[in-house]
Amino acid sequence: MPIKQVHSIPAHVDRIWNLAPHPTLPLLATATSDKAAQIYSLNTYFPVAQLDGNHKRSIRSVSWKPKTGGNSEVVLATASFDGTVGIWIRDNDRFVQDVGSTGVIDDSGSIGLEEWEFVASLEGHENEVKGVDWSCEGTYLASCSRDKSVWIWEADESNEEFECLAVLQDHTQDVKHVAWHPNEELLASASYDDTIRLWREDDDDWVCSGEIIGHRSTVWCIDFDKMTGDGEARLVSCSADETVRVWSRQSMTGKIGSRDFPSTFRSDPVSENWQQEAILPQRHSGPIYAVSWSGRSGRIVSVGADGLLIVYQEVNKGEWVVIAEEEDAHSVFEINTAVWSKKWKSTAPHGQEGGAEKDETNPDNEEIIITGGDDGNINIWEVTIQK
Amino acid sequence: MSAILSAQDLNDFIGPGLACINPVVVNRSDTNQGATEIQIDSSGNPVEVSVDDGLSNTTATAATQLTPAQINLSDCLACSGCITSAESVLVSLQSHTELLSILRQSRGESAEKDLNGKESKNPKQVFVASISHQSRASLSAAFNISVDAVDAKLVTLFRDILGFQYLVGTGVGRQVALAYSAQEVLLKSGKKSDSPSVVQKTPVLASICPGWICYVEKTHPHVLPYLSAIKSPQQITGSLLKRLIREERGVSADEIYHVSVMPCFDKKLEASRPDFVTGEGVRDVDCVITTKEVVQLLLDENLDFMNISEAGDARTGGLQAMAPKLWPVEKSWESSDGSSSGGYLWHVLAALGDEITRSESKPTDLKVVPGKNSDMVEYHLVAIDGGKEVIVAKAAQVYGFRNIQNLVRKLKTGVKTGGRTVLSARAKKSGTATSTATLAPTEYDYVEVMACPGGCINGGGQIGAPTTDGDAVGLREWRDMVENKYRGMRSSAVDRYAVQHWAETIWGSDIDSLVRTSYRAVEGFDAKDGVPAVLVGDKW
Repeated sequence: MPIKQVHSIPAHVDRIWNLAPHPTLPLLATATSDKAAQIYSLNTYFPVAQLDGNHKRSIRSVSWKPKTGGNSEVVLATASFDGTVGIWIRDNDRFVQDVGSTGVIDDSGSIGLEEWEFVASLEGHENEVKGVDWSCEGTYLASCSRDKSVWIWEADESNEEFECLAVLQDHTQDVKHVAWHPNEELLASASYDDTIRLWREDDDDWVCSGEIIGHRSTVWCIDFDKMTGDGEARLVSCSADETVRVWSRQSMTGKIGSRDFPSTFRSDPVSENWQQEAILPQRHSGPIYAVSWSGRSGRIVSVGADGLLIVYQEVNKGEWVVIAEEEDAHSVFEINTAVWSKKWKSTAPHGQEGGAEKDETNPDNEEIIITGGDDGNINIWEVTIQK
Repeated sequence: MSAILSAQDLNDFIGPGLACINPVVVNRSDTNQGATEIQIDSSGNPVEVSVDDGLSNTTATAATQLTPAQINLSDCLACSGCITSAESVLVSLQSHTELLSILRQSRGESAEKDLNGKESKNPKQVFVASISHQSRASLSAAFNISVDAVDAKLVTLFRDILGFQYLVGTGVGRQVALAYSAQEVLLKSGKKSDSPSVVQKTPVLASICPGWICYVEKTHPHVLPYLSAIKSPQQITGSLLKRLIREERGVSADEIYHVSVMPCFDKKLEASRPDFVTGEGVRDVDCVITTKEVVQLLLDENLDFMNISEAGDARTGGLQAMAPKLWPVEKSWESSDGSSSGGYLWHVLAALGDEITRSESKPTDLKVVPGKNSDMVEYHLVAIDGGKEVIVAKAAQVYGFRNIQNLVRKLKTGVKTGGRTVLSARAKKSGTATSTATLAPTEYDYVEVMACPGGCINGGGQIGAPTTDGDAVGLREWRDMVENKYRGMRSSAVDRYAVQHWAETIWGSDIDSLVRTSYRAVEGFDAKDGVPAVLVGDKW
């Protein structure tokens, strides 16, 4: 079998909407119909924190602030159907150690949960917030909502005071997902209006610099290629039209952030031109809810309403093949989210199979796929095909 | 010329809400509802009849009379909910066609009949138009002629072609608004020796922008106590015009039709606010048309603006004759210092500065502190005391939805306010730690708030940038060009005391009824009352 399930966490009673692994720590955040996000350890697969007491409706999306420089804070953003985005910071005096241990052990020897502090609530959206994402250096936070708008926020150093930088209303329908480029200050958003839009800063305002039209139905999710060269950009999108497509940027004008790209006139409005590079081999027979592009292997995973989990690999630029396919990955339930994650060294809990040791010589073993579905389970998968 | 008009940019910068403000509520609590259908009875009224097993029950007892669902323009524009491109094009196009039809009607060319087939009494007899400075600047930039030439052509257009008896600029209304706004802030801040008549909360927020007002009333009622109570120039002009013309011509107010040319569509809403209608149903402003609609009107009537002759010696002869007798004509067409949205902040700080100089004999100066974007600027009024500068008042200019977001958030009690400097993202990248002003509303005496980025000069109803090849101009550049036309206008200082004296002489001692208004929270649709039958944006 090219893919195997190595673990399953019966995490929630109700559906899991979204999962996010921390960029550098073995932590996984979950967004569920509970009004509380949960944090799991990716070493032990045990829960280490529950972030409750703030949101009044389901959490739809979660995003970790990238750890930058000397700032050692661990910060999570939660997007909720109650119309707000919550900002949470881990109490650094009481948290599960990064490597090895199984929880905060108190005096009686039993495992406790971490303490997290709710520090800010970003209000302004008119209704359900569907997506949230931090930019590559943690400078900006983007949120999107059923109110058709994308908002960009900036935090101060304490992460407690957020200023609204832009309210972007170019989409004509519900915006489902936002994602930032891995190293440029370029934002992409996916919408019920069948388009993907790109956003950049122009002078002191954010504008829509490009539009990707091609999908014939709601675009549910997008993810950027993390292995592109300087100045390049590619993204993958999945849609209710049952296709997964890869798009690449052909040209652009104007600056990105503080970097100048060649442009004929300095006063050119920022714009960029994206073209479809590939439609991945079609396997899904229902809306595809999530895609994720691995920053380690360059592989793409997609999941959807049909319960299929598909892994694709690029054999030549623009040419993709399916290397693994799993049916009923969450039994009869729809799968809402899939993410690639670093595989953390883990001791198999309670003698369960699947806790393979990290293989330094084989980079393929370094990553796992984590999926969440309507069954409330978090499933962990390993692709066993060599690259 | 048709390139100037673009139906799709009817964007007043604050996005529409999703749920209709006047929804048809379906009461889920009714337990005796089986299947029903709607029929028309013998007298043409809609009735709801129950359906049993597929057969409708048309006996009198089984049918319930239905009241027709009603929604009128005021409701719709108040909501700014579902009125987006398509509908608002229709609405806006109706306005200048409405004007033309009323003009024809008054000339006896056509008669309006009411529902019973009778001709409506009181066709309008006297037509007056007022035009905003921003609209004149827009026309000046679009046709690439001077503002004076625009004014001269407007006289010919309104007087000779359309048959108006009066045409004025909104400068007089603006001067009155500026004078009373400054007084309002002085009284509130305690920096004036007169006894305060009304004490307002700090900061006072400008209330000239109807888009901003609607947004506050509908979404952020906690901001209501901060709003300035002073009416906008559009409304003050309307009240004054109708009073003066009524007396001058011996007609009743409802025989006067006042059209105002404005830079945005939200001004239509302002004109139809219930606060601005008298007991007899007379509105201070009967119809607002945007600058774009003036162009559309010319197109519809096959007129070429450039070919309209300039009424000779317009500045004195033409304009003078087009104003009511007691109207200070020059001031009507002159602009004022400060921002191209009217200069409210400028005048408030100038008045505060004058007061300091007068009472404490200290000179004052104005410092400008840019915010993190061009639509957010802080101003500090400093008094110079023995060589040292002491900040005596602060004010800010907050334009655009994204900055308004930060303003309303910081005015919520319990929210930590600014004061803390946010390192601008650009500064972080370049390595220098220059700080810019963050919005700190509780420290300000006044905030000039406008919904449109760039302010009124960039209103949603202004003529857009030329887009044909060779003539194409970028949006920023176009905004600057229109702004320059505005700056090129003659402007005069506002002598607060002279203005107030004039207003009180013309209007009478009940000056509050001329210059003050009030706001209220719009009762939103509450989910517990039932469920709306349709949410805008629902796909069928």
